[in-house]
Parts: sequence; structure tokens; C-alpha cells
Amino acid sequence: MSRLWPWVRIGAVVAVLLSLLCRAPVRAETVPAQTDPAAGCGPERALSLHTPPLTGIDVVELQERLKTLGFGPPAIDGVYGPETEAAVRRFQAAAGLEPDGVVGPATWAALGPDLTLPAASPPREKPEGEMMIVVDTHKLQLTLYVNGEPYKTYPVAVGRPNQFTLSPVGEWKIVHKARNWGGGFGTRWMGLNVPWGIYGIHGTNKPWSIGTRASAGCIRMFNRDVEELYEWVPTGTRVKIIGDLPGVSFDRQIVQGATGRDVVLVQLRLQELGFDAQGADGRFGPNSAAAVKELQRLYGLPVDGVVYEDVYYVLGLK
Amino acid sequence: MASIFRRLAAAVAAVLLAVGGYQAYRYYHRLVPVGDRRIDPRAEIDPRRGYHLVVWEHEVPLPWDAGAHRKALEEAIAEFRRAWPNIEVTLEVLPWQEGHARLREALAKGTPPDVYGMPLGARKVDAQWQVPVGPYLSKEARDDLLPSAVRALSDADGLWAWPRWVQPRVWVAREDLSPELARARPRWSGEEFAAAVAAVKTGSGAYGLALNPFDPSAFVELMVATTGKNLIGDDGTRAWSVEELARGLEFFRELIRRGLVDSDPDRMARSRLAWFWTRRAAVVAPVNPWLLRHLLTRGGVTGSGQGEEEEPGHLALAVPPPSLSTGRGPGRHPAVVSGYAVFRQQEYRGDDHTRAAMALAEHLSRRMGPWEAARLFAVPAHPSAWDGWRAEAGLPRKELDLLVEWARLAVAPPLADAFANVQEKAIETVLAPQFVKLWDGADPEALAREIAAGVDGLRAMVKQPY
Repeated sequence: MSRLWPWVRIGAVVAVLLSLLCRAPVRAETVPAQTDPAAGCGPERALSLHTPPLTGIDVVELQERLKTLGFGPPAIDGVYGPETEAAVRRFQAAAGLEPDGVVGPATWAALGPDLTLPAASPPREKPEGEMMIVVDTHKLQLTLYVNGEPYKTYPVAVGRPNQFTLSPVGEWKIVHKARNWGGGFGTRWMGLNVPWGIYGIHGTNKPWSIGTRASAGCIRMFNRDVEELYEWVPTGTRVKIIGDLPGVSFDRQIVQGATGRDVVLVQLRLQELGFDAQGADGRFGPNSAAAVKELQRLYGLPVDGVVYEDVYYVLGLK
Repeated sequence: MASIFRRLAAAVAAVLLAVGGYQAYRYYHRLVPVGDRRIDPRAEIDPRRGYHLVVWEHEVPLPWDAGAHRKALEEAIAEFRRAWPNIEVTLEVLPWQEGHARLREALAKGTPPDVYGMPLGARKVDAQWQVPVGPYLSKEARDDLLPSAVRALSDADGLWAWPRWVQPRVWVAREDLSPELARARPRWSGEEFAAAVAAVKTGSGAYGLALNPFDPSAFVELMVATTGKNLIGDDGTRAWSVEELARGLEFFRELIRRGLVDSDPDRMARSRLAWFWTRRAAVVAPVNPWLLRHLLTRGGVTGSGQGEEEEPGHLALAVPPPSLSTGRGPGRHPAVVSGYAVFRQQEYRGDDHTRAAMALAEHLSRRMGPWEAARLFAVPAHPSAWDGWRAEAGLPRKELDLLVEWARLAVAPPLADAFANVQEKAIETVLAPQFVKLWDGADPEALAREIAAGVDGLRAMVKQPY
């Protein structure tokens, strides 16, 4: 036991650091990023009655599910107050759980017991070739492309439609993969290199949410589907997320090193106009600066690779 | 009797000799000297012979319609090949900012392409390999060319490229800030311009003119409109006197002094469009074709007219650079004239081959000229194409008429490649750093002297025009 103890402590420290990273993903940046500090998908927390009460989209999701199952609180307001707690206790009692009003993994699991998943669609064979994932947040679908051709499409849940929880529109890469994180992440996690928060493609313990806009921005899949996809796509696979980016302002000069949603929009617009920024990953690096210089040269603007006010106008973003 | 016959025979022989000599003289005279060759421009394309022509063309970047230029080029070539199935054409599209250096390399080896597109302004690049176009022009073809385009691409030795389009350089004004700005067109003096922008300042507090002080093109355009000449003349010498330079610089200094132009060059260079669109500036300059399209499209001008009557209430209107000239002549307008040049190669392939290259260059100039002109706010060099161009350009009739009027007055940069290069270099390395000094309060006369000395120094380094 004493030999194991240092490893337990190291594990605990790693877990705490990971948790902090998930909660405050952008604070290490040196260039101001246009972000919401709570952006992205954090680990699932236990919900219970607190003073002040807990709030958030996880509470909204809980309230919606309770209401669907007939236990619902009168208001879906995202506040875990006494009425929500009472609804939870009623549900727990009916599900044979201890009615303690605390929503943890067991309660979440019990919230979707009778859900029948749609049949898995073919093909089931591992494809060969260059892979790319496209997530269409309008159609709520994830499509795996192999050598430029669509190979298989899955239903997904995407970010809720407000500017702080929308899925990160842009062009990303899978930068790490992990198994069995459990809880809200389901059985598989494939993290994306979004610079302003923790986002990924993952499984779920809320399978009823698939096919809706329910997440904090991550792409949720049925565990069965994400397990299949996980085996097929390697780290480094490109992931393009198509959708809306509302509420982005263009008030700052973008220089090399900047990150943010505004950078994604600048990069996407550069590409639409034929200036190759080599991706739309929200990081304004040398390739983006070179594309801006090319645009500045063509339009007779001062050439410095910086997105200043007149560049926004030529890009049609102002 | 015998002596009569002898005399008669001698007379006939003399006449025949004279006629033969005259014919030989005429034949020789109509040959076009190109390097060590004399080319017969009357040679015909042999329909039984196979030809292979190489075209180098710069891709005109149209960010709003990627790939469209190449497609139009390919269609134009396919159309040519339908008329001449025995002529194969290889098209090589060069990147926008490359190409000229590559042409120079090919010329040094004696292997230039048969046809070379020069969208940024046609030039006489090389007297040894470039074939003059004039002898290949029929009377009908010559009559269907804008005289200003022919003038811009000609020197004492003839016409050096098939004219394609003429692009008048313009500034852009907000009509709603000052109706005088619109009324002052198609030409205005420096005084009229200053009065109009001063009225804007008084009326709305907006700057009259928003410039990019680090790009002296607006100054160059004013100088061309004023003097009718470019900085470097056709003979390769500096064409603007110190006094003319000082007068042009004084005009801008006065605008700065009166607060009609922002006093902070860095801020203005990066914000002039923002100011224009937020009613904080009445006129933007300089404006290249891409920026012009942005301004006219956003200003609601493009797509509004389709060649019909002008609709009121446009935010952006093209206006000419003002002229400081006191003369009452027709005026001159700074412009770029595009064209297709034809080259022979060291391994000469015959007069009929050259004729085939000329036919392709003429076809491309007629086909691509209107297509590009409709997209770059230029005027096709062939008036017979204007009806189609008017319909395609999507501008109100009044705007199209103005473009034509300005195109007729076009003054293009020097034709000789080396002189045109000197001018470009002088603008970039001499004018640009001196012009911005106006914002530091520099004396225009002192700046003019600096500019003249700098330009003369650059010019002295060029010995030959080609």
C-alpha cells in the first residue's frame, strides 16, 4: 500500500490539474483571445442544492430530461433550486435510487434507461485512406470522409444555440484520444485543438440528447458510434465544424499569435476570397499573416500581415 | 530595222527590270525587321500545316470569383481552336506577381512564348524578339481600336501589343456627403476639389480626403492629370519639372494644413475605408481596381444599373483625380493599358507561324478584353465590344459613359520596359518615402528637389530602353 501511495498522489495532482485546465482553458495565452473563460466542455459535476444555487446548462439539461420523463420542475431556468431538487428526489425514488437530491453518475444513468438506440448503420469495416471529419451543426450530423469521399454519417448532439455554448466552427485536428473517462464524456474522448477552450468528440451518458443541440459545445455521439470512430481515426485527423458563429465582434487588431473565434472567421473569409490561410484553426500564425499580406497587396492597403480596421472592411466582416 | 528591235528589246528589258526592282523594293519594304529576321506580315496561315503556339498569361486574381479567369481563358482558346483546328495552343497561366522575370529569362535564351499577356500594362519588352503588331492590323481592325490604347502601346517604330483594355485610375467619393463631388465630374480642377472637400469638412466634420500616405499613387495620378505626362517620359527622361513636382506636393500639404486630410499618416493608412463607410471621410484615394470593386459593390453601384439609367442614392462614386492644370484643353487621365504581345523565337518557325501567333493574340484581345474589363472597371480596347461590356459590367450608364470618357483621355506609363521599370522603382523608392514627409511638415519645394535628384539618379543607371 505504501508503495502505491506516491502514484495515488501523483494521480490526484494530475486529476486536479486536468480539472483546472478544463475550467480555465485560455488563461495561459499571452495575446488576448476573444473567448469566454468558461468555454468548452468541462468534466461532469455533481448537482445538488447549494447556496447560492448551482446554475448552468447541465442543470438545464437535467430539468429538460426530468420534464420529459414527467417529474419536471415547473420552470426550466438552469437554476438548481428547491423545486428542481424536489423533482430529482421524486425521480430517484421512482427509479429505486436513494432520494438524496444529488445528481451523480448513477442518477444520470437512470435518466435514460429505456432509450432504444437506432440501429447502427453500415459500413462497419475500418476504412483505409486519408480521413477527415465534417460536423454539420445544422444537420446535427458527423460525416467521416475517406480520400475526400463520404464514408459514414453519424447522428450527433452539438452545442446549444447561444454564443457561449455553440460548437466551435472552424477547421481543427484531433490532438489527443482517451478511453473511458466516463460521466458526461462517455466511453471515448477525442480532443480538438481549439485554442479558446476544451472541445472534443466524445460519447455520452445522456444518449437521449443525440440529435439535439444540447452540449456546451462538444460533439456528442452514442457510445457505440464513438467507439467505432475512435478505432478508425488517428490523432491528427482533420475535423471541420460547419455552423454559425454569432456574436463575434471585430474590435481588435489581429496580429501573429492571436487566437479566438474572430480569428476563425477571418481565416474562413480569407479562404472564401481565395487567400490560402491554410486552415481555420483560430490561431493567427505565419500562414494566416501571409494570406493577409497577399490580400493587402491586392487591394492596395498597407502590407504588414495585421488584420486592422480596413482589412475587416475588405473581408466584408465590417 | 535590227537596231529598232534591239532598242525595243532594251526598252522592254529596262521596263521589266524597273518593275521587278520596284516589286522587290516593295516586298522588301513591307517586311518587318525583328532582330536578325525580316518577317513578311502578309504570310498566311497554311490550313494544311500543323502549328503549335505557346501562350503565357498572368492569372488576374478575382477573389470573388475564383478560377473564373482561367476558365474564360480556356474557353477563348477553345473557341480559337474551333476556327483553327490545325493550331494547337498550350496555355500556361503564371502567378499574378511572377511572370515578367520569367519572360526576361526566356528572352535571354531566345525562347519566349509566342503570345504573352500583359494585364498590368503592356510594354515593349524586347526589340530583338518582340514582333510589332501594326503591320498585321487590317484597316477595319485599326478602326475598331480606342485611339488612346493604340497611342499608349505605340512608339516611333509602331504598335507593340494587341490592345486589350484601358483602365482609368479613379478616386472614390461619397455622394451623400457632398453633392458637389458628383456634380464635379467628369473633370475637376484642384481648386474645385479642395472647395468640395472643404464644404464636406464644414458641413459634416468629416475629412475631405482619406489617403494612404505610404502609397504615393494618388500624387502620381494628380500629376499625370495635371501634366498629361508620366514621371518618366517616352524618351526615358524625367518628365515632371521641379516646379511641377513642388506644385503637386503643395496641393497635398495645403489639404493637410487645412485639416481636410488627417494629420496622422499611420492612422489614416489603416482606417480610410472605415472612415469612408462611417461618413468620416468623403473621398478615398488611391483606389486600385480591386479596391474600386469593393467600394462600388458595397456602395450599391455595381449590379444596380445594368447599363440603364443611373439610380440615385449611391454611396460610392468614381471620380477623377483633380488636375492642377490651368489650360482649357481636353485633359488627360492616368490609366493602365493592357495588351497581348507576340514574340518570335531564336529558332524561327516561319512567317506563317508568326501570323498564327498574331491571329491568336488578336483573338484573345477581343475575347478577354471585354470579359476582364467588365470585372475590373476598365474599358475594352475594341469599341465594337462595348454593348456587351456595358451589359456585363453591371454599372449604371452614367458610370460607364464616364469610364469611356476617361479611357479616351488615357495616359499610360512608359511603353519601354526599362523606362517603365525605372518609373515603378522611382515611385517605390523615391516618391513614397518623400511623399509621406509632407505629414511631418516638410517643405514641398525641398521635397521636389529631393525627388528630382533621386529620379534622375535612378534614370542614369539605365542605358538602354530594352
